[in-house]
Amino acid sequence: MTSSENVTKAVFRAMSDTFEGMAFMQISRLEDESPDTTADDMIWSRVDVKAPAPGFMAIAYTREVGVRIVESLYGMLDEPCSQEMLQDSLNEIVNTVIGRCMSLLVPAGQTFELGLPKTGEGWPDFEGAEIHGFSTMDGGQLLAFTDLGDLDLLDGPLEVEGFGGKSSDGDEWGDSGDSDDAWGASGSQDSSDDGWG
Amino acid sequence: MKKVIVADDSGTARMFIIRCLQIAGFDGAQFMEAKNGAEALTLLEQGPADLLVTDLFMPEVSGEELLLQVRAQDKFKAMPILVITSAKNPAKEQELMQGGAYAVISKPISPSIMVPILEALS
Repeated sequence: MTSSENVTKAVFRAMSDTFEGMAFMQISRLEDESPDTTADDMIWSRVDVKAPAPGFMAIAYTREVGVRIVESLYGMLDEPCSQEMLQDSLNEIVNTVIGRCMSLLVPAGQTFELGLPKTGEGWPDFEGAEIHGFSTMDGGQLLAFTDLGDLDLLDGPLEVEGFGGKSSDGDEWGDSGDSDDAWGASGSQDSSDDGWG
Repeated sequence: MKKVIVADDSGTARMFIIRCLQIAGFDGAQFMEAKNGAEALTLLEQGPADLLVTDLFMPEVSGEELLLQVRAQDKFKAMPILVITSAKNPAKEQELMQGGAYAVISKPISPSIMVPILEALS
């Protein structure tokens, strides 16, 4: 199923907000590059949408990318990054991303319901899902799989600043919305400024 | 010392919430973690907390069920409950506020979002 433009924009915005807000990581869309689907050490997590219409989102990345994300989330680790930490952080990320995505796609007066994350390893074979490719600043790839075609309930086009172009300050990163100033009056997203160590 | 119960099925989310609360002014608090609403209810058997923070979608007893069960008991009437969820929209927020939530906050949270809420509580 091909997603509507609104779904694609919502996934972009939700991914940007979540990775910036949780892990202080800026991500960009893979526009001219196909995502690498050959990696065999992938981990993934999927959350189903139960209402107002069925759908799902999954996010997948390699263990190497996952370890970097865990380190960004947790700061300095006292012990090696465990499989449980990798999977749990991915579960929380996909849960947050699909929630933000649905908040953008579902009209304000309507509620929506999500399932609990399901996890797996290896290449996720979600037949019919659309794949959205993203890249971290250090080149790590993140893949979002969606089948949300019937969940674009908006009457008009979704406005997502920075989508598909350059942001107002001229860099190539998309606008990440309200997470930009979410880390205090200084406006800094440097974890050390906010005491995250 | 303030007692705070944080209920979320994700350890990552609990860590994130606790860090946010610490930075936002609850750095000296005693944090008690629950993996679902049932565990939070067990912790509450010891008495009310100064703050209950809960996720919405959790196995066994969800955040919504936890909210309703806690609000049904007079001894917890004054205990503020923050719902932190990825599934916030105006309709859901209104539903949860009517159910007795003190505030409903979207994930991902940040200290700057928590500061005014915690200041209003104290």
